[in-house]
Amino acid sequence: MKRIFVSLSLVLLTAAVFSAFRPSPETALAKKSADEAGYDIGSEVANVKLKNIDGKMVAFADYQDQKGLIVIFTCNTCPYAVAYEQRIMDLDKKYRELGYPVVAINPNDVQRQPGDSFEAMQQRAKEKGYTFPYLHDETQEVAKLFGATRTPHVYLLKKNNAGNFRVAFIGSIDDNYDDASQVENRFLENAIKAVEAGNAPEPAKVKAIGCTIKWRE
Amino acid sequence: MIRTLLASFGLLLLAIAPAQAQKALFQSVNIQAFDQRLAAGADTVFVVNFWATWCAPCIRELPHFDALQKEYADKKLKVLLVSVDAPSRAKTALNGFLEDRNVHCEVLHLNESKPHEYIDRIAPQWSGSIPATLVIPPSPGKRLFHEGEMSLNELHHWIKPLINVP
Repeated sequence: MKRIFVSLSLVLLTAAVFSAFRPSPETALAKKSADEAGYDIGSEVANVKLKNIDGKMVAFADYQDQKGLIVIFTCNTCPYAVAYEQRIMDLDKKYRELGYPVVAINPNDVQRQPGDSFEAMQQRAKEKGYTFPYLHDETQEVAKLFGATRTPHVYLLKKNNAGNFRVAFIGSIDDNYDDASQVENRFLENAIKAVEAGNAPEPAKVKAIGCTIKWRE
Repeated sequence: MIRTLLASFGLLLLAIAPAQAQKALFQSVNIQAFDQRLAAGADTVFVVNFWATWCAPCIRELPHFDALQKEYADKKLKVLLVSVDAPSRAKTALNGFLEDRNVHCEVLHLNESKPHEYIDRIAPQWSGSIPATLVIPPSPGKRLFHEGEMSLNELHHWIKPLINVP
């Protein structure tokens, strides 16, 4: 049961269907370099299913009654992720009620980063009182599927009328990892506001410095 | 009166000077100054490594860059170790780090607090994770970029064709 059940056929099907409706390349949102993989803005996401720190499996399909999801690839060990930890906890408290709960996913290889073991994740979540699931992407398939490269790496998903989650925003929570009080632009919160108003977030993608995901060697 | 004041000011400066004469371990630059620095060396191969004092894989690969600079000491190759440590902590973190280690390459600190504004400017394909390495051949060569750790062999593989090594 350790394997992740990402329905490949679903991914391929949605990719095929979606490519037919893809906006023209000049809309820039679809712009992508050839070596970049993973979800882009508008991508329909697979029903990811991973083990939570309580030992139970959590699937995106469990969130059918929500308006969207804040998916954050994060970890115990990256100073950037640690700097954002309180903000991630605050985001869940604020946006869970509005229908956008946080789902945190730790993609780091435990061999390369023992501080990100399942047990260490459990301990961290308990110490800090995480109110959101903290999922272990043991095979790193979900991080690859999303095209996540760093921690923290944020994906805002919005459920469409057909009940499928689509990527609405990719990037950074805000523009100042170092000092939450000096933040000028809350990219993620602005993106949530935009999708709530039925608009496309602008910017839809925001780059940030972060720790490389520790890929399995 | 003014002369006396100036003279005593001068003496004061002289008194302070020795304390500041110690060589700075790094230089702080904004993105414009960094671009200008690269533009000024159009005949040079620049190997630019983006790192931070908190980044373990970055620190692991720092010796490769020192080795590279040493090996091509007589060539037009310049290694720049560009720290992206947060501006508020850079001075303490970098001084502490560099004092403890024997880093031979030139170290710059990118004094910018908004990474989303400079990442694309440095390399459009960079997602923002570090370490990341950019090689800028003499103009008009094509820039090379890699996100993630690099081995010394990989660095050589990139550099050799750009430097006239027999």
